[in-house]
Amino acid sequence: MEGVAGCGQIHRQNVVDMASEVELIQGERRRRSVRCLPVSPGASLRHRAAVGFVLVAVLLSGCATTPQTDSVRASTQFGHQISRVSGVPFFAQKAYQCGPASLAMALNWSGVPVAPEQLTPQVFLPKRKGSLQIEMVAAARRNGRIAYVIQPGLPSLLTELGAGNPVVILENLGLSWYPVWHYAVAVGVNVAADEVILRSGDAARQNMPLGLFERTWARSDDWGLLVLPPNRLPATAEKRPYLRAVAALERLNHFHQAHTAYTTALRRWPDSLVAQIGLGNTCYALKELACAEDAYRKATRLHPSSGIAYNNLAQTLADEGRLVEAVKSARQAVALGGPLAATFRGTLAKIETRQGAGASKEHPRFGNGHARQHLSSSGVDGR
Amino acid sequence: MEKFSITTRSVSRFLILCLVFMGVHVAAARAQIVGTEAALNSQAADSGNRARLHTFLERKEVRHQMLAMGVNPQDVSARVNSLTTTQVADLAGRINKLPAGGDLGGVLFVALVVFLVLLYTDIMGYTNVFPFVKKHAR
Repeated sequence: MEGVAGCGQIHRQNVVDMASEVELIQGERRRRSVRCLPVSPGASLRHRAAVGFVLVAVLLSGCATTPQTDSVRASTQFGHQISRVSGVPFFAQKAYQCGPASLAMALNWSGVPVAPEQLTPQVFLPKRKGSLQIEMVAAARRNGRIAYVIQPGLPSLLTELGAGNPVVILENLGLSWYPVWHYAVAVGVNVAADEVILRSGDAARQNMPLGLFERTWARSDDWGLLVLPPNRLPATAEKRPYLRAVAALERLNHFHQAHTAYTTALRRWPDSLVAQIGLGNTCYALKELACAEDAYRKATRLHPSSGIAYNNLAQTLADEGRLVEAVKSARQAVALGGPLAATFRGTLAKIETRQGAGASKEHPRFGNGHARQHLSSSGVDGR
Repeated sequence: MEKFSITTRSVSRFLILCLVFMGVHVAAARAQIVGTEAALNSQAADSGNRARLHTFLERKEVRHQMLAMGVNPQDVSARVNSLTTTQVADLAGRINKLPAGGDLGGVLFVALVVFLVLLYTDIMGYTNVFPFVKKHAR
């Protein structure tokens, strides 16, 4: 069983006792690391002890080196970086609820007014007493936001903070063999002063030394999540991962947000076929056929070798009742072929059948009923 | 009673098959738009019904795991449905093993206590958990 599960709550009395013990063990080091502004006396003690424990853990795990911190300090790009993300509210976590709390902070920053309690049923696993990364990503998307996992490494994190984007991070405050997984939100950094600023647990502002942050973060393979409104591209955005994040919104029927995001993506990557297709697909899903046609036509112009562009254009034209043009476009898709050739042939067959049925005024043959039904039910048949 | 449960089982198996083929059927009747997800994966061949059945079974498994993890039955469907195909594949069978970010209050101290106890027992030669503790022959 994992460390997170099966660990119960313990009494505040014990907390205080252990805290003073940790302070004794830590001595000088404790004073250096605990600079946070406590929110309450109890939180302060617990918090100090937490940081203290991490230091003990790091010490005992053999004083791992911190290559990322060293190179960031030495670099001209990051060496003097002082960033502070504004507009990130703070929600103190309830027991085991650092997932919902962290996600709520990021979502509120991105313009979705949501309380941690509303997110608990979306991400929390009661028996694990925690929340999984995959579900944090999925829940951000459920709330209509782009969930983008950044590239591992301090440079990515610092770049995003510099661009004013808060980053939900997963740390392992324990050891690799005794994990204590914890979500927090990185909201600032001051490289020269050796601190990463986090909203974490009970602390609205926790200042963590860079090296300590690097070690606790490295155990989650530097996992960092951006939760962004669809008109805002990550500073470190890469084309395919970003488009994957947007396409996932379509599955959740957030077509308006996905449409905006594809438009945003096309501004950065004007030659992206997938973004152009996605733009058309969101229009089509919103039943804006003229908009879909425009997007697909542009895709066929910019990417004349894409069967998908011709196929989707054909389907849209057919829905608009322009069957002659539709057949022409569908034939082009079939001619181009590729891995989706079977789908293209299906499109052509359906449109041709419909054309034939319309011309000879015959009843549709057995097996074509569904296509006809769909096309008439979309309300554009008789246009 | 035994007979009844066998009947129930076979009925539910039949229903699963119905659901799977209904899904396939509906997909076939849908408009022939290639989705953005498929456009992203267009290097891979059209995976068809087999992949769809596979995903269907994985979603079913994840749903069961979530229920077993104590998620409210009312919330499970929305949670499973919000996962992409890739996410479902990542999650199936691993809900117990993936990192779950939880609390830092209580857990930490239990961890510390467990650690100190094990360290102590290791030094005393009762356990052999930590490789860095030198053991003396007893």
